[in-house]
Amino acid sequence: MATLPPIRGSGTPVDEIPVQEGIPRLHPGGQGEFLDKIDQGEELLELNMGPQHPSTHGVLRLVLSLDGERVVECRPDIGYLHTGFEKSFESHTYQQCIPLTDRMDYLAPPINNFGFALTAEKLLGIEVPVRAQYIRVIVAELSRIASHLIWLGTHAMDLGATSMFMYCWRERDRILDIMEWISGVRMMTSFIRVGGLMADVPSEFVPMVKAFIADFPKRVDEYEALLTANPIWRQRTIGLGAIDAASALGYGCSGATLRGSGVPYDVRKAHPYSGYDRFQFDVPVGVNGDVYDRYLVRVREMREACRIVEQAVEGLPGGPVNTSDRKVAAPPRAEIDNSMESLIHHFKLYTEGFRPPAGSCYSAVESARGELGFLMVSDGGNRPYRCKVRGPSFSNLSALSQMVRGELVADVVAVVGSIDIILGDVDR
Amino acid sequence: MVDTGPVTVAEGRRAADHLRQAFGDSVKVAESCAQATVEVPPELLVPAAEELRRHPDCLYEMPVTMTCVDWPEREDRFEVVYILRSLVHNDLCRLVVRVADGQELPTLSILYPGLGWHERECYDLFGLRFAGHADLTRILLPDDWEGHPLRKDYVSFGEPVAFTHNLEWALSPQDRPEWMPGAVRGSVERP
Repeated sequence: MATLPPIRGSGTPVDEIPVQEGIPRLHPGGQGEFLDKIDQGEELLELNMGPQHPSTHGVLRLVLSLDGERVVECRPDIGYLHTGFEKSFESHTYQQCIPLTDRMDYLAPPINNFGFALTAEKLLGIEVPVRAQYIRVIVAELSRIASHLIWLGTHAMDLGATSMFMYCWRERDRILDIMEWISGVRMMTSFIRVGGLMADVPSEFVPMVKAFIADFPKRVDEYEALLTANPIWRQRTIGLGAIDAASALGYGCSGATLRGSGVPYDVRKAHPYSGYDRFQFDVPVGVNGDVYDRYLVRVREMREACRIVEQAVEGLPGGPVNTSDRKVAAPPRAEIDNSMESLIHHFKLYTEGFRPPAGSCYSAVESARGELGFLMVSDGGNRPYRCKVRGPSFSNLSALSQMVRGELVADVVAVVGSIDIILGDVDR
Repeated sequence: MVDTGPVTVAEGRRAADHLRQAFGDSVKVAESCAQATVEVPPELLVPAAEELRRHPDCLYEMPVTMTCVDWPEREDRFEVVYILRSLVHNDLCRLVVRVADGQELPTLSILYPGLGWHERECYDLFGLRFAGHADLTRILLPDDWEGHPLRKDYVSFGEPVAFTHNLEWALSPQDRPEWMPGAVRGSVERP
């Protein structure tokens, strides 16, 4: 296997990736020079890319103004997948909102559940048992890997490496098998609930996860052998779609899109939730903020996620998986037979739900795409008065126009792929 | 809930203390779930945001999101919330401005380019207007959409179901059967 660039540790950018001798750089970073040349009264070509375009990863429309092959301006047109989740939240009880959250970022649904549940728990002022915290972390990291696998497969396929897609799908299927085993559903699991989990995990869960993480790093090595040192891949991605740290921050980018530019911001490190501070892991950061660096960051993130899962499975404690607060989580079935109070709790929870005290709260989790935040306002009722979802893809996509300015039109698909948008997360 | 007493919580305290020092008593601070929310009058929005963005004690450089909460029964019905993050100080700040229906707010998209799209979303879903915004058009809904769906008085989905006891409420005069009070003659035949 070819030598890989060094792993980039927490917030310490390493030296620039050397470009191999004899490979011309397609993107010499001459964007400014090119942009100075236009604006001489020449007519620009308007090109519609999408909404029905295989490389836009959903229904995204880009209106491109072209000068020859170069992009002068790019105006993303979004909203084709707008579903009005935020309005729907207002007419559902908190627990009923969980299946809605699944459908926002549909490649990593448990992380959406996670963010919603954490925010509601903060409003309620409750904490979930340690076992539930561990299982939440395992499920979230597994779905992060699954999401990154889809990103890697489709991103590589956009640039012509078709076989990557098959390999990535193979590994992702094993994660979906685990999800199915614990929740009965492969994708929209609704496994993480307010107050804990849908149910405790079955006994097969730990061996399944262990088998997966024993195997997975070798698979990542294979992916990297196919792409990381591949001259064609490097030619197509190095120096392309670069964005500097200050601009990325100004656009509110987060996740690998921000970290690719060298900003070591990760919600799991900055504001540890659900016991992430118990686990050892690094936050990979890039240097140049180009497509290649974002690729490297995400591939390294898969390895780090694997490390977290490994530690969480090793240290998985016993105990209950739901809060003992009977006003929030339903009592066990056996308790209902003996206690009138439990029966009332059960009835009230399933007919009416719980009522957090009036107030508002913002909390965020690190989703596969960046900071997924929920601003929840309660008026003391059993439904959220207002729940704003801060979809990371929305902010990441707003920086796209700056990234593709001056690039070739054929490279727009590479840049769109590299910011890993999910239109369900953009449009909500 | 909103008061001018000392800030006790950790998150957002930096912003609250700083803005109070800079702008005095017009800055109000509310606390909820261990987070501070700083409320400023609309005319102080731009100076406050500039202070938060640039002052070395604050450096809230990342526009996380902005949104609006609609309280139709209040005089200033829209509570516009800006969520800003400082990576240097590892802090989160919630800046709140209250405006009445039809009242314009200055745009913050020049200071924070990332808020440009969020302001368009607020315009789209709440009908808020931002003075100075370069492209204040609908972003999520089609251009010809009527109304602003996240307002509380916008019926979320479905249509009123007509029962015998609520026909007058559910049906407009044109749709009422002839035998009903207020019906337009010959509009709907009786089944």
